[in-house]
Amino acid sequence: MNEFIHNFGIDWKLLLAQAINFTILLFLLKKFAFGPLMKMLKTRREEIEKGITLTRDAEITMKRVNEDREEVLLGARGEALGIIQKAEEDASEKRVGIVQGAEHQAEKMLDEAKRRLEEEKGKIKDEVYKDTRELVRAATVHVLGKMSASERDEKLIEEALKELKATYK
Amino acid sequence: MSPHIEVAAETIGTIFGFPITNTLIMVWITIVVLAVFSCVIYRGMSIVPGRLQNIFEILIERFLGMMEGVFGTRDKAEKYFPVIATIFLLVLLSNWMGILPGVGSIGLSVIGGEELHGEERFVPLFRSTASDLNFTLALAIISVFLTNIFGIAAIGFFKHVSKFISIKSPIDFFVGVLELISEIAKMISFSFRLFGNIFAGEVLLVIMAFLAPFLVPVPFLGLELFVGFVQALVFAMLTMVFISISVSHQH
Repeated sequence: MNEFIHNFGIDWKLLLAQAINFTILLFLLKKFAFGPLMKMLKTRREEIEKGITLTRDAEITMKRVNEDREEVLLGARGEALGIIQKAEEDASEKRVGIVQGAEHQAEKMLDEAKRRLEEEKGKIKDEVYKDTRELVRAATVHVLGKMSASERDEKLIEEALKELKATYK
Repeated sequence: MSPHIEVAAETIGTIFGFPITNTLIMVWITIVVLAVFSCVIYRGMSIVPGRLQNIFEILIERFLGMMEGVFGTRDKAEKYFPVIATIFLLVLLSNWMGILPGVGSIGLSVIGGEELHGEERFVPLFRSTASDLNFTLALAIISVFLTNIFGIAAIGFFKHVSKFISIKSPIDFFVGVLELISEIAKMISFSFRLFGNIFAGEVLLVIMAFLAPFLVPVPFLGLELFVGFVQALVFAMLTMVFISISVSHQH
């Protein structure tokens, strides 16, 4: 055994030195090469995964937003149609009312005009009677001249006028 | 002068009674190269990778993908990746740097030790790291040691130890003994496989360069590049498989 160890030059000091060398190298490589590189790979992988997830989420959100918009647009269109329809209904209803009101007003005005006309007519008639009376009286006075106007005459005239009035009415 | 082949690594000198061999110098150079390389990567690192970073990320990603296949989960693969990748890189670069010109040919003439009786002899200043059994044995011991440490950390001390020492039944007892022997066999096979391959490659290159210095060694240099890669891969893969067995729950 000793011969063997001697022939191969095995020395515990050298073994220890080689082991220490390996440990130092392991530490150096782990600290400066493998550690940072693996961390970098991991970080990049995670970032790519995050990016993909974000993209997928964004796509889903966009799809949903589009659907929502479509829905809102559809609703808005329906609502607008409803409003227009209601407005039309209101308008036609109001038109009927306005037309009715106008007709009513026109009738009222017509009535008023008629009433005034009647009034005027009455007034004119009264005035005509009055004038006629004065005229007839004046004429009678003129015709009869200086004849004394007896009470009978007066009565006669009254009666004649009454009759006249009756016939006119 | 015929080539002198020494199985043991030659000692260049001593510091405070601590022997400095040519393979030890070589492993230091390898570590410095790797450290400088990792610092370059570390300095230029950004979330948007440059060319160098991209190459390393692809390599790491591939390696992690393979480990994920063995360990089952990405987390486990990432946990044990540094150890296995360090073994792979150290062995790979050691083997490849052993083929560089100057390794084994630049050296000193010293007055030899007791066997050479004061004769002058040539001692190379650099020697392929894995052609020293001290390096491969140290790596093998570390590999087996870490395998058991990871096993204890993953499934608990008593559960892990019960793989080796079990008195539940005679069969379990003998299986445990076999497991213990296999741990020692692992160290020996790990160390001698790497040592044998690289040392044989060194000897082959020396002999080829001695017999036919021009052109003929070129295919053998290519072969050694390949062997160096395969041995690094084998060492790392076996460590990976042993760790994955050790940390998994056995029934």
